[in-house]
This record gives sequence, C-alpha cells and structure tokens, in this order.
Amino acid sequence: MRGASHRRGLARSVLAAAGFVLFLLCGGCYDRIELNELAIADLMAVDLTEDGLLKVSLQFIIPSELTNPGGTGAGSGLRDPFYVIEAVGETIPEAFSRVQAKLPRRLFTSHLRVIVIGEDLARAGIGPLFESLTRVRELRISADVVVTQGEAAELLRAAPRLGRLPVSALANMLHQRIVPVRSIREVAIALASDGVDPFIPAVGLTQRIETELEAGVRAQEYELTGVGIFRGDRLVGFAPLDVARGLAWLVDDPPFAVATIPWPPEPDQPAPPLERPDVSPEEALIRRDAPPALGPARLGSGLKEPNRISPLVLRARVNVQAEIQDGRIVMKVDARAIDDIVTNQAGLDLTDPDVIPELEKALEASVEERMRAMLRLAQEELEADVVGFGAIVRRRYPELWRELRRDWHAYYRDLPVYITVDVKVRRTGLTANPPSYRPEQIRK
Amino acid sequence: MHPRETRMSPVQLFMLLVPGIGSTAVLGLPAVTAAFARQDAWLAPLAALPASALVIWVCGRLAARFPDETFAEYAPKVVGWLPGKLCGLLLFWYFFHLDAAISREFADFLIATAHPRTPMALAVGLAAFATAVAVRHGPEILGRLGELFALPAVLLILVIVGLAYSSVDMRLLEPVLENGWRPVFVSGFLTQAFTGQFVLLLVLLPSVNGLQHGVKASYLALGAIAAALVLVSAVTIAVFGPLTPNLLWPFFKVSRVGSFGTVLARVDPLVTGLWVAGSCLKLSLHRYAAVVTLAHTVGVRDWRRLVLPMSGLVAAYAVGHLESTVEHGYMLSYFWAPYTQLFQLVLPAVVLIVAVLRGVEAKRDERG
Repeated sequence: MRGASHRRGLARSVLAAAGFVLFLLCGGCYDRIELNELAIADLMAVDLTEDGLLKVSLQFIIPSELTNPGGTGAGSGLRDPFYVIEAVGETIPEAFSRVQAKLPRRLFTSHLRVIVIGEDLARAGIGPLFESLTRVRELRISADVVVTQGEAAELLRAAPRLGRLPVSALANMLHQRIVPVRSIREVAIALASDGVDPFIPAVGLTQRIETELEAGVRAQEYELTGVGIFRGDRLVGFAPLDVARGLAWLVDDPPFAVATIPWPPEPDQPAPPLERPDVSPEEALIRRDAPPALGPARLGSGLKEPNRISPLVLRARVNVQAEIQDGRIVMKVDARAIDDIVTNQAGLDLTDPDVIPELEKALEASVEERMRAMLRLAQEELEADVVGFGAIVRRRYPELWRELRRDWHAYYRDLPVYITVDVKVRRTGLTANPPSYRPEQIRK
Repeated sequence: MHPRETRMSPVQLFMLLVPGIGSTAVLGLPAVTAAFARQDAWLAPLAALPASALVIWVCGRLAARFPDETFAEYAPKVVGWLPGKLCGLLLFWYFFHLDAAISREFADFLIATAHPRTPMALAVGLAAFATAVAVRHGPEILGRLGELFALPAVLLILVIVGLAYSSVDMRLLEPVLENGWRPVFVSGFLTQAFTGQFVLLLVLLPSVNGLQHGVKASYLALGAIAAALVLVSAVTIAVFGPLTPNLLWPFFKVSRVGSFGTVLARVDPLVTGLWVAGSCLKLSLHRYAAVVTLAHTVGVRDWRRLVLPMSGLVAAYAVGHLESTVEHGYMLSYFWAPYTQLFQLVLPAVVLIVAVLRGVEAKRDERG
C-alpha cells in the first residue's frame, strides 16, 4: 500500500518536473520577438513633403557590423554599422508600414533614442506628430526630440567619428547640458499645458576637418545650433546658441557653458588706445605684430578683444515667481550661480579680495543680459511663452489666470520681468594672477 | 471544506489584502481620477478613506455577530430565508462580475503593452486556470501567496518612484485645489470602487485567527493602500502633468521614463510582472469569495468542486462582456463606482442594520 502510494507520488513529481522543463522550453511561444528577426531603428527623422504628407526616415542598426573593429570612415574597408530607409505616409504608423515593405526583418522602434523633426513639419504643427509618438506602443516616451533648420533627413547622412552609432553621438551631445534637452514627454506636456509654449533643441550638420584617410569623404558631424521656439504647436523661430543659453537659465537648467565678459565692464571706462588715424595700414600691421614693449603695455594687444575674463558656471539655481505689483502681474527671476574663473586674459588682479565683488557684478550683468536677449526674442519678436510664465501665473494666481488665459499671448508680450542675479566667484582655476604676465602687466 | 477549517494569521491577511486590492488600482487609477480632479488626483485616495473604513467597520461588526460564518450563511438568518438567499446571490454576482472585470483588465494590459497579437481568450484563460489551482487550496494558501508577494510589490513601486525621480516636476502638482474640493470628491468616489473592495472581509474574516486583530490588520491594509495610491498618483502627475488623464496605464509609463544612469533603466517588464502577479492574486481572492458565497447560498457542501467551472465562467464572461478598452474605461469612469457601492457598502450595511434591529446573532454554543 505504502509503496504504491510512494511510487505514485514519485511519478507525479517526475511529471511535474517534466512539465516545468517543458514550460521553460516554450518561453515566449506566443508573440515572441527574436533579436535576429528584428530591424532595430535607433534614429528617426520626420519631414513634411511638398504635398503635405509625412516622410519618415529611419536609421537602422546593423548589429553584425557593430562588432567590427576599426573606424567607420573610408579606408578602413568597412561598411557603416547603420543604414537609412525612408517612406512617405499620411501618418507615422502608415509610413512605418511602408518602411516595413522595404525591410527584410520586422521593424522595431523601441530603441529609437532621438526623433528629428524637420523645419517644414515643425512650422506646420507638431501636435498630430506627438499624438502618434505618445500612442504607439513600441515607442519610448523618454526619447529625445530635436528640430532642424531645413530637412530633417539630412541629419541621417552624417557619420560622426566618435561612437559607432550616429544616434549615440547625437544623444550624448544633447546631454552635454548646453541647452535643455527635451524628450517626447516634456514636449507633449508643454503642448497640453496651459500657459506654456514648447521649445525643442535645434541641431544641424557641420564639417569636420578632413584627415589624410578621409580625403574626399563627406565628413560631417552634428552641431547644436540653438533652440527652436514654438507657439502652440507651430515653430515660429530659432534662437541661436548664445540666446538659447539664456533660455537654459530661465528654465532652471543652467548651461555648462562659458559666458565671457569684457574687463573693465563699463563701456565708458577708457578703452585701450585705438590706432592713430595717421598710421598707415602697413605700419599698423607692423605694430600689431611687434612684441610688447617692456612696461605696463597690455599683452595680446593684437587680439580683437584682449581684455576678457571667462567664467565657468559650476552650479546654478534659477527661481521664477509671479507677483502682483501695482495691480499688474510681474515676473521675478532670481538666479544664483557659483562660478570658477577659467580665463583672465584681461590681467585682472584676482588675488585682491576687493576685486572679486566687482567681477561678480560684471558677471551678474552678463547673465542678466543673456536672459534679457532670450526674453526680447520670445516676448517681442516671437510672442512665444517658452519659459512657461503663464503656467507660473496659473500656479500662483489660479483665479486671475482664468481671466488672463484667453488672450495670454497679448498680455505676455508686455509682461514686465525683473531679473536679479547673484553670482559668487568661489575659485579662480588653477592659478591666482596670470602666471605668464609680468607684475606690472597686472591690472590693479 | 469550510473556510473556518483553514486559517490565516492577521499578518497574512494584511499582506494578502495590500497587493490583493491595491495592485490593479496602482496602475490604472491615476488616469481615472485625474480625468476629474486633474493635478489634485493624488488627494482622491484620502477622500475615499472614510467610506472605505466604513466598509471595513461594517464587515467587522457583522463578523463579530457571526464569527464563524460567511455572509451567505448568516444573511438568511438575519433578513429571512428568501431575501437572505437573494442577498447571497447579489454578493456572489458582485464577486463574479468584479473577477471578470479584473481578468479583462489584466488581459488588456498584457496585450496592449507586451503581447499585441495574443488572443484575449488565451491570456484570460491561462490566468483563470492558474488562479483556479491556487483557489482550490483554500484561504491559507492565498495568505501564503500574499506573504510571498507583498514585499516585492511594495519594493518595486518604490524602485519605480526612485528611478523616475529625475523626471519628477513637483510644480505640475500646483495649483492645489484649482477647481475646489468637488472634483476631488468625485475622484474619491471613483477611488472608493477600488478601496471598497474590502468587502472581501465578509468572506475572509471567518478564516482569520483572531477577529479583532483581523479587523485591525484590514484598517492597516487600507492605510497602506491609500498611502501607496497617494504616492503613485502624485508621482504620476508630477511626471506626466496634463497628459495623465489620457494615459491608459500611467504608472506603467512612469516606469518607462525612469532610469538610473545607464545602469538601470527600462524596468517596465518588471511592472508587467508585478501586474501579472498582483492581478492573479486579486483574481484568486475574488474567485475564492465568489465560489464560497455561491456554495453557501445554494448549499453546496464542498465549495472546491465549483472552482474550476466557475473559473471557466469568469473567463468566458471576461472575454465576452466588453467590446474594447474604450468600453472598459467608460464603464470604470461612469458606471462602476455607483454600481459597486451597492454591493460594497449598501448590501452589508442593510444586513447589519437589520441584524442590530432584530438582535440576531450566532447562538452562544455555535461560537467556537
């Protein structure tokens, strides 16, 4: 009796174990996705065609080429580990299905890291595009978005030297904190929010210097050119890089960048003596190239702007608040930054603690001017609320906002913005006074 | 086998209720509540607290009168034979319908996020079979499953919140109460459809060692679920702001946003896993409640015989009773909350009131 039940128990365990092993074998029988049956897209460009359709260009990874050692350029005898296929459709998924018709493997868009939007499409409106980008199951909502000046598909021609895949070069460049990065999610939030207009970093192509091996090859790299400014869902203009850095300050994502100031800061201070008008051009050239005389003469006087000081922002924090003053709304921007000095070619005496406050004041003025330049562009020229002043007003004064929201852009145009900047220079790089200057060349 | 023959501890009850009720709410609820309360949706679970606590209190009072019986057994003694049997059937229908709705939601999520070409019948059927096996082993095994699963579930939620930290923008939660309290209470009412599922206690409490501790554990579980829902809703809104109401499974999207550098990112398969495990726990809890309630209503001695056929019925109803996720979403927003209140609060409360008025309770010698 006992033996029989024991045997039955054993048989059952063996059966159960066998069943378990069988289950392991059929992992993902249904809806399985094998890596070598996929065409993995990592970079997508979307353009508007002349007849108003969407042209989708997808860059695919070729995994087998990825493992090859060596470069991607000519002379290495290797092919690029990526290629591009494009198709036109009325919507993104339709274009995807037409791309699929040109692919030997199943289109897989989960690994798209950057979406490039062409200027024409951006000017026509990106709302419908973001509808697809947030709905399609495979797409990751955290992918980065950029716009181009001109056609987006052009960007897919570049084969940057650093990194095996162009998309990693592009994405890593975006994350260098030069202008704020925007993901699908952030742009969609800006589109759906009351009182915010979206902005998207703008990227273009730039030529790299040809080396021997590369002679004759199209040698192009990505370059961050600024920020595309939208009103509603339509692109209305571009902010060049210098102005875009002001935007970075305003949205509390201060750039990891250098903002050089002249020294002395006030324009009414005596500027370095100009060339006397009676000096002939030839003589001026000779003087320019002549070594500086002994004495307090400035160094580098042949430079266009020798009297410059460059800070590096180490840490910064920007707070934007709405307030009511005399019955009308004003914006208060309060920026705090801690700076390092990375160049003091003006020869300022940085060992003197009394000089630092003056320097800080000049740096504060330069940061404020950066933000002002952005605000001039956004408020007066483009009337696009990319900083989200409207949303800030809505958070602080919800009742007031209900009245204002209808013609916010008109109100926004003349919205006064008060900026206070507090810069602390905490360190001066690895040197105190310019080591290459003689003592009498230091500006007291 | 009667429920009182297998036992679980109050701790097990706590660990069973937290994922068993909270799991499906965590993933989908923020979208439903944000549709009405917008950025204030994180307040909705708090607004739902009093009514949900009332559900637990009613179940606790009823269980105190009839410590060894389930609702379907004592309802005829309280309100008379025919109305009592009807009450039992109504409660059974609630558990059955809810079980089918959970199956449906489970399959919808799995299909929409991971397996777009899998037929729904397969997804629902597999879950129904797996949970049927668990249910057949009775409440003790369910309690142990809860023990196994509660901690990882809570940890995973914390991990997702932690990973999404860099995408969190607390300013998206402002202005607080932009449109007053009204939308918050509407959302709280919708949340109540989830947190009111504590009506399970009508069936579970007889299996718990120590009635008072069981009720206490339930209040604690309610607190834990409300806290989790507040956290999840707040984080979801802080990440997605005005997009939240239009995302079908917003917390799943949150898990897709988060990353810890390049080391740890894309934890969404884990969320799918959490959902599968949590849904199955919830499915088995309600299946168990449905089967036991029906058995006690119609007087079947061994409820376990009903488990497999009932699972088949639930699966069939789950696949057939809704056309699409659109209908499901509409039902959740506009029909589900008032409908479930009938069973979660009104039905037990009426029975309790009648019991108090008529002074009915279990005879002393029946107490064990």
